[in-house]
This record gives sequence, structure tokens and C-alpha cells, in this order.
Amino acid sequence: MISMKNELVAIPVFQDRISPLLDVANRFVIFEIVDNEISQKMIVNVHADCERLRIEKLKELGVSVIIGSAVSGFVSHVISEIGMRLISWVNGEIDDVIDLYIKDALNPSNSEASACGHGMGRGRCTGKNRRKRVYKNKINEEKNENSDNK
Amino acid sequence: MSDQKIKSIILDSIADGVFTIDMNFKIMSMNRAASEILGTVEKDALGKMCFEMFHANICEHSCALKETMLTGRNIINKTIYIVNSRGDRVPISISTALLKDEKGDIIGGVETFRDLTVIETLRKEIESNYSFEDIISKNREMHELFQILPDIAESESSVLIEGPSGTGKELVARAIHSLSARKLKPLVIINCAAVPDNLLESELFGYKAGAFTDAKKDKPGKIFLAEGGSLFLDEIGDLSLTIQAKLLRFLQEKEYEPLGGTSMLKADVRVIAATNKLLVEEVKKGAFREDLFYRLDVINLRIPPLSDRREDIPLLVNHFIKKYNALKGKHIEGVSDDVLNVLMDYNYPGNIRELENIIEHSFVLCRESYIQNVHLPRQLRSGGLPIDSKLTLADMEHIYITRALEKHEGNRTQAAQDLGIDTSTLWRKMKKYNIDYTAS
Repeated sequence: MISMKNELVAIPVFQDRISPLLDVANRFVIFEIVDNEISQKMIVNVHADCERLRIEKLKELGVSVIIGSAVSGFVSHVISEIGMRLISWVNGEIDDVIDLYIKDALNPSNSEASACGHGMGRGRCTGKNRRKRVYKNKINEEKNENSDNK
Repeated sequence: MSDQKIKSIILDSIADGVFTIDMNFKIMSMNRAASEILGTVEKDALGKMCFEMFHANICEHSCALKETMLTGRNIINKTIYIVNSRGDRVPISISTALLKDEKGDIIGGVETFRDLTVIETLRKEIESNYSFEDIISKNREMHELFQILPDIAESESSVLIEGPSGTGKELVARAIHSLSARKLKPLVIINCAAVPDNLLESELFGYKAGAFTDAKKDKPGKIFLAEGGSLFLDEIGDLSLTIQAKLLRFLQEKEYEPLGGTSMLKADVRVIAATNKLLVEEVKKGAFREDLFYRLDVINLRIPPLSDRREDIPLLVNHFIKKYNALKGKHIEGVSDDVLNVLMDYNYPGNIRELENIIEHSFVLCRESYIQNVHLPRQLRSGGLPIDSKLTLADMEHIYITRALEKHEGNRTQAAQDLGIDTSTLWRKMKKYNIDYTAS
């Protein structure tokens, strides 16, 4: 049973993938999720002098969940102190990750950091969705080529 | 055994982490140390994007491998940090180079890295032995001072602290006060150079209502406010002879008369004075009273300039980084090796205060974890000397030669090597510019 999600989720982005380190990331994709559907997607650049201010700016935008890759203990603490939920140690393409998150398939697994109880954990994007999308894109490209030939 | 196997054994035997990437930044190989530091195994890492395994603070904004692959320049010993699976920031030193095939074509990049955690822990442990009250130093002269400060504090004698501006004379005064039996009473500070002479008398001794036109009611002076505690007279060498006479009387009699007062007031105040001038010279010139000098100079402490205690620069840099991290809510880990070299080479005419200003300036510009050259003030980025358009080539030569001699404590052979000239050329230039440097 998939839980119903109505929230703003921020994912730090680097080359269409999750940024390697949340501590220094300043470009985020924010997804608005309404009834388990992405209703809006926007990219924001968050510049601030320190990590806390950067996270606070996301909070001000209404973000309640951050999905990131590596996160230091210090920044994890800041996020939980501000009252946001963090899912860490997730790698992969942003669109795959948000799909898996909506489907509750982003399983926190063996991260030692998950012991803190703030939803942190090592979620891995399995790549299944990526393969599906690549296949879809391939079909679309072939369709476009065919229509061009015609 | 094949060459490939031998190379693999060698790579797995070294303590430094090594990994290679292809032109698309995908990991091609990784040695055992790299797997251990990154908390992964080679087979899981192969084919993955390097930034998804490395999680370093520079991956996204200033990737060292990318820079090497774009420019062809190797990067050597750049200090950065990675975040491990426990969420610890692990300081590491990285070096990068191009990876080429047998034909010399670039096929990717190689990065080696070294865990600095143990070194950092040891450094912090060692540094903890180098502070006394709020004074930080590992300089021998300063450590001698640390040893005698408690005894000085216990005595009731006047103290004269001499040393150039920005060396921390006020910190020494504060240490003396806080180690003394007067520590629960106030330490009142007055900068004699910052108060106009005509106001200094009323600031020190206070005044009675009606003493002058605007004196509507009594105002206590600094001496009164310091009752039972200590009075720190900074820049005492700038006192006028008139005030000197009144201060001498106070030191002799432990009594003073506020402006417009009719009776003497008793005071129990210990005087600590400081100056950036050589008071003996001022006495010789007649600018400072000899009798006052001897009253103040019961205990004389000399604080060396920062250029004479260069070993303290790394400690002080770390101290100021901690301070500004707390003040500005940042999380800067340190300075890069290049920056530390620049800071170690600089002469600091403004002493520790100038070093603090440099760190504060760098904090404003630094959005990374380590302060880099570009974050330093301009005069340091251009090699440690302010480029003044009024300086001639001869002036610059004079400055550089003097600086090299100071750095090597008068050793002409080493100074010549540093300057990239022959010792005979150095001798000739010293004669030409009339430089007669003798190590102190």
C-alpha cells in the first residue's frame, strides 16, 4: 500500500543526477507532489553563506522532504533541527528517484546513519525505471525519425 | 605473474587510495586503500560516476580531475574533505594526473588520495598544549612567558608589556588579571592614544559637578571603576607629560584627585601598562618621564612580533578559523597548503591582528571548505608584498632581499638560493642597497 503524499520534495541536482554532497549543493529540483502525482517541478538556486541558511531557505519555500546523496552528520542534524525529513545516500537520476520515492520504493537500507531515526538511510535507485525511460525515449526517437523520413 | 597482476599487487599494497576514470568520469579501477577509505568494494564502484563514489566537497563545483583533464595540469596535495557513510567529514589530500595509453593519448584521469584524519587528530592534540588562557603559541619565548604569568599575576606589582601593535598585549594583560586574586573585580581598559589629551585626565580620574561648564554631575573615572581590580593603560607611550605627572602621583601615593575635587581619593587598583614604543628610548628623548617609567617597569614583559614566531602561524590560523566559523555560522575546515605557504612567507607588519584580518577577509569570500589563494586579500595573492605603483625596481629588490634575509635569519647562502641568485650577486646587491642584516 503506497502512502498518500502531498508535499514539496527537494533534491540537489548535478548533471541530472543527485548531487554527490548535500553539504555543498546549491542547485535543487523541487517537486510539488499532490495526491502522489508530480503537479509541478522547478529548479531553484539556493545561495547562502552557510549550510544552515541554505537549508532554512528550502524550508521557507515550503519544502518538507530532502532526498540527497552523501550528507554530513552536521547537516543531517541541522535538517532534523529545522523540522525537515531527510532521505540520504540515494544516487541516480532525479526523475527515477522521485518516481521511486512516490512509489515508496526508495528503501533506506544499510546506512549506519539511519540509526538516528530521522528517515536517513541508504536508498538506491535500482535503475529499472531508467531502463524503461531509455526504452521509451528510443521508441520516441525512432518515431520522430520515421516521421522525418516521411 | 603477468605485468598487470604485479601492478595490481603494488597498487593494493600502498596506503594511498588510487582510482582511475575514463573520459566520461566513470570509474575504471580502484585499489584496496581507496575502497577502504570510501567504504566500498571495487566491483561495486566500477562503471559508476566517480562523484557518486567519492562524495567530496569539490566534486560538484571544482572537480580536480576535471581541471586536470581540461588543462593537462597535475594537481598536487590539494586538501579537501569527503563524507563517509557515517556522516563524518574525512579530511583528505588529493593529487590528480592524466591517464594516457601506450600511444600517449589521453584515456582518462587518475586520482590518488590520502586520509588525513590521524594527522588532523594529532595536530589538534598537539595544539591543545599550545594555549594559555586565550593566548596561543608554541614559541619558546612565549612559553617562558606562560610559565611566569601565574607568578606575575599573584604579585601586586605594576607590569609594563612592550611589543609591536597587534601582538596580543591586551590578551596578556587580561591573562594577568584573570589569574590574579583580583579576577572577580573589574579589569578596566583605556587606550591612551585614542582619547584626546584634554579628555584623558577626566576619563582617568573622573570629575566633580561644576568642574567645567558641562559638568552637571559627578562622573567617576576609570580608576574609580577599576576599584579592587586592574587598570590596563594601553599605548601608555602616547601620554602627555602633564598626565604622566598625575599618573606618577597616583602610582606613588595610591591616591588621586578628580577634576574639580577638593580632596584626595584612595584607590586599590593594580596598573598594567602596554606600549608599542621602546619606553627607554622615549625616556632618553625626554618624551617619557624617567621616574614614571621605573614605577611602571617593575615587571617588564616583551611580546615578540609575529614575524619572530612564525611557528605560531598555523596555530593562529586554525584558531581564527574556529572563531569565525562560530561567529559567521560557517563550516570552513582550514586553509589549503598553498595558502598556508603564502601565510608562512608573509611578514605581518600588523602582526596577529593583521593575520586575523586576512582570515576574516578570506571568510567573506570563501564558500568552499578550504580557504584557497583566490580568497586571500590582493596583496597576498600577488606574492606576499603589496604592489605599490610608487615603488621602483630598486625598491622592490631592496624589499625582497631584506625579506629573504629576515626569513633565513641572516643566512646569505639560503637567502640567495631563495631569491634565485648567486651568493656573490646577493653580496653585491646588499652593498649597493646598503643592507646590513644581522640576525637578531
